[in-house]
Amino acid sequence: MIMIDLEKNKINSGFNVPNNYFDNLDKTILSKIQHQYNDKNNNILQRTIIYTISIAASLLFIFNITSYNNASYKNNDYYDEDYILNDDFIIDESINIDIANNDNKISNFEIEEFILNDDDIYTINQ
Amino acid sequence: MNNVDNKIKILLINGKKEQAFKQILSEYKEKLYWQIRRIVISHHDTDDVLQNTFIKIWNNINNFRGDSKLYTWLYRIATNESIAFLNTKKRKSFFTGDNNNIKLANYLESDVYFDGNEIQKKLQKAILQLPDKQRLVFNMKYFDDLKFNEISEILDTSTGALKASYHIAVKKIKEYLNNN
Repeated sequence: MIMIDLEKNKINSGFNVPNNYFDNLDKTILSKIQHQYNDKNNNILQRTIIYTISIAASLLFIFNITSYNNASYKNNDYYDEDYILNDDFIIDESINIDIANNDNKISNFEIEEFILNDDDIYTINQ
Repeated sequence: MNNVDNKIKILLINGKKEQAFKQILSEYKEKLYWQIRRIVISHHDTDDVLQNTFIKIWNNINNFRGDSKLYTWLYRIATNESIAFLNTKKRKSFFTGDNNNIKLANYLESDVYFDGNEIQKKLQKAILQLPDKQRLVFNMKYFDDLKFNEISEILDTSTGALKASYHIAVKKIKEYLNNN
């Protein structure tokens, strides 16, 4: 049996480290901190880019909606809900077509001819 | 230790964070290594915990107000990191059904970075039988020669409780050494 007197004879822990471990430790830790710092900066940069793009896209979207609304409603004198056939289609009175005149009737087919595409506006003079 | 601590504190007050950190690294790397090593036992685990400890020190160096002694603050970070590491290991051991302290004691047998003689090995195994708090107090008192009031600051425990823990730890270690 091994007799040990803790108080009288101080015993070392017996642990050891690899050669030059402490010499290289500063370098290892400083490079790890530098790495962490770079990662953090890259994350900030990435987040900034994403936020900027998101904000720009949102602003563009809002601007487009506003422009569309302005274009649709800017001439309020001619705007009348009764003339709206569907959401994309507004009849404007400015085009001078006399469909009231029996001598110069325009068939439904002919009216449709005025619709070039969904965004086009045509008017009928009543 | 106090002169170096004062020098580091002055560097921090003057906003020279990097220089202060390099001084801390150079002055405390070995002391903190051994503090951690005696808790987590394995060299590789100690290396990980030590690196995390220094990263924590770097991240929080601006929060050090100088109210407590620098080495107390550093030891506390190292101890907390080591305990957090052990707790994570214990949680894993709980699921695998292993006792972490027995695992650490067995690890000593095959550890290439443990070159202690039979007495040293026996002492380490005896220390590993202790509950964590007693193990911490015994290591700090026996190997680091810290005073009870210094250990009290690091572990945030009263000196009376620490003295009792140390006394019980020594008694248990003696019993282990006599019976094994």
